[in-house]
Amino acid sequence: MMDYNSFITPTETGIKLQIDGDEKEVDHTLYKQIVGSLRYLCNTRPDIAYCVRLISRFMEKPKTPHFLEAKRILRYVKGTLDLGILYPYSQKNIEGEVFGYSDSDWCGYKDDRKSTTGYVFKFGTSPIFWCLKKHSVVALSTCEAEYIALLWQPVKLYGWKL
Amino acid sequence: MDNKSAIDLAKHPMAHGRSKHIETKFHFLRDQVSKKKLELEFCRSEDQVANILTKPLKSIKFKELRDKLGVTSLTNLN
Repeated sequence: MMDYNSFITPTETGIKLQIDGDEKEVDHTLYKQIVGSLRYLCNTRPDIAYCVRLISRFMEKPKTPHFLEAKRILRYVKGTLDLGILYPYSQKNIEGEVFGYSDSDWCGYKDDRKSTTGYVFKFGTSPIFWCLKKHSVVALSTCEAEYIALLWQPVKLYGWKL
Repeated sequence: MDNKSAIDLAKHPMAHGRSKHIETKFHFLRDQVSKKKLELEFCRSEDQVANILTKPLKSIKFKELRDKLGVTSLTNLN
């Protein structure tokens, strides 16, 4: 993979991956190793969090399209090795408020039709916490999905229990 | 937050045919908003950095949001 060209984005737009399909299965061990390494990288790179979550759903039975997507992420990472999160020294005196951003994709996972929430907390200009989580219930509308998504952030922030 | 109806639902509690089926535990949010423990704000799509976590984006939009998120190049720092 060293000679491959890099990609600008880690995923194609409109990508749909599903568990079932006629495609050939690939080497489970290799796939799991790739996903595991990428998950480790997610600790400092929130930009690949979405696609890593996307491919980590197929750990049980990885097939060719899933493996191709994993390779695409690796190629994206190859082109962006210098990226990272910076907490500038100039911001040390900011009496910062923490801002949270939350979003959800309605019915993002076609196999069980559950939605996924993504949220980020930012302090100044840098992200300090981010999370992607699949909902426990099936939302019937985008509004409901976002309404449920809204609750995750304060739950995390204040340690409330649902 | 980039969905106005969800904000409305949280800010103005009223019995509503279309929100009846939402599980009670999620209405905890509404409770906290009415007690002023939380504040919800509408955020335009261009500033919504959480988009990068929930959908695949095209390259221009992706780069723009990545910068807004705070993931920057660390090579030329000095």
